[in-house]
Amino acid sequence: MNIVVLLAGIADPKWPLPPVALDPAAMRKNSHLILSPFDEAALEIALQIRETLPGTSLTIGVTGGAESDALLRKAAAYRPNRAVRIETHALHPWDAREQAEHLSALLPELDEAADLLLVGREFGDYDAGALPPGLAAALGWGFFGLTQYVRRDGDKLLLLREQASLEETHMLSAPLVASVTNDRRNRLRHPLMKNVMEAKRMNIDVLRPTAPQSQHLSLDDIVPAPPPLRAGTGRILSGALDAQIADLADFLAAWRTEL
Amino acid sequence: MNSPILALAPFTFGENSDWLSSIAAARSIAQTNHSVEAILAGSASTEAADAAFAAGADKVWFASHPNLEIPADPGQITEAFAQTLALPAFTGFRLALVPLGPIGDLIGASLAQRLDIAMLGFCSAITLDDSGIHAKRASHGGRAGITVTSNTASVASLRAPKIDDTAVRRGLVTRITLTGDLPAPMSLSLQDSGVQNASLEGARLIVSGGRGIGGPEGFIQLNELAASLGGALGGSLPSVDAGWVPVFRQVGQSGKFVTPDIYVAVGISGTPQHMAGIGLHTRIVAINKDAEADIFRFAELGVVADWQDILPALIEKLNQKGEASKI
Repeated sequence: MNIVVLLAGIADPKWPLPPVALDPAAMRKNSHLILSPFDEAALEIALQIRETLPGTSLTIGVTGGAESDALLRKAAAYRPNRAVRIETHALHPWDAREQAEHLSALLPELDEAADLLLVGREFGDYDAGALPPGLAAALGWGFFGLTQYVRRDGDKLLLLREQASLEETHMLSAPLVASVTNDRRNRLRHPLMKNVMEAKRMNIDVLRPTAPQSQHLSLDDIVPAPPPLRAGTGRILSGALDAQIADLADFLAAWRTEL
Repeated sequence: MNSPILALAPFTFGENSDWLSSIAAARSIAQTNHSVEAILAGSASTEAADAAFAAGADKVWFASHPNLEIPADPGQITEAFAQTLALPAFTGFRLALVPLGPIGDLIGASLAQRLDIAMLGFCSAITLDDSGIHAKRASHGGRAGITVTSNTASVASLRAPKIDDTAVRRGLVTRITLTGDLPAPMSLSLQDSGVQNASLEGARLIVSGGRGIGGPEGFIQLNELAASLGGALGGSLPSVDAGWVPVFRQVGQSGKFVTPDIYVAVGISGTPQHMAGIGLHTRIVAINKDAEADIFRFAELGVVADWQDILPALIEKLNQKGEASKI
């Protein structure tokens, strides 16, 4: 199996968001970038498959400019066959269709035998969540969304996800794009320190997608998120705890629904 | 009359897709300037047509295909919508809405590639005028908001207002039979996971836990509380990350958007990313031991206490009330 994992990183939610800017490259350069929980989950799933199926090739592509090099080195510490930065500053991150078209066209340059593309569920499109299925559509490949974990069954590989009271299993039939979501079974492991050091010294290979000829979507404005509109009436219960619990039970009982 | 707003409604997914949300969302932006035409992929059903009209459709199209499989397959349904939108009746359409959620995202993104139209994403507001389609949506994990403009046909999802299911509406129903090729359905095997709890979709009451719950044991009690109230269990991103609650129960910017009447937030601080997943008209009840937690700013009713001191007695009291009401 030939796996390509695409990672984009996010502005660390524990750090303040840099000043908003219409130029996504400028904003990204000023951000403290980390891999998102979904990026990490996609990478971990790839590592699990590589362990499970001997002979698997793993290529990692990290999108962005030079500010993404630290993310690329972090990912490279897991010793993929190839780790590449994909220079995406000519693309428009608010336009999932455009990105899907140009990133999918680049896939053969990442690995011409690629048959499994793994991405985090909110990969690289300003949270629209449309890029993973868009990549599948652009490639003409199957799509399995919200993958939580993988399991080997004989010589087959199973992708699994939970939906309400059902567990859905897809016996992997390549070629496939799979988006990955966070789950306790796909938390990213720690790399070996010697591999971290080696990744810090590696030369960075850069690929550039073709620039879009036309644009379907223009970005008109970007603003910091406004304060929430909702304001509760803020009745905080007080008094003895038993009395508070009784008040709360009275309130909630009025909203009880018969199943 | 301006071109109609199209609502793509994959009704054969049943409860796996909030299929009426695309129609309700289309109604909310159509106002008096546009009509709402709902395209339902599948064989005609009086019940589905009635629901579509009640959600706000002025006209309903059923697009059936003899080879559409049951249970529904997203790839086949997307292809059915693509073939329908290529019919002369829909030439020049400007905006098609898909339902909220993963199935809607998949259909929308695939159609955008297939038909070479713009994908606006999951929007909080959409307006149409002569200069284009303008959409607002969250970005950067809910910490920023962007406005994009499309000058071509577009597909999007949009938060829908609550459907007034008492409204009586009627309109024209048209049946189309598609004949183009359909892709083979993706092979999936389904197994009952044994999880018994109401679904978040459409729940009138949700009991949700966050990082403050501290471990999976607390979610057993939250589940009991949800069951005693006839509600659904939810969780925040940190509680999902910790593996205390499954990801399909995640509420928030990167989880589900829910619009229950009551949202009981236990051990949840109330970050903007979490609150972005809760409808503005939902009443919030907060239980948190940190009196400074942001969640109390949004709560209609709050209790400042450790959840472990509250939940057992609260569940017992509610169960007593439930028993008493049956006598």
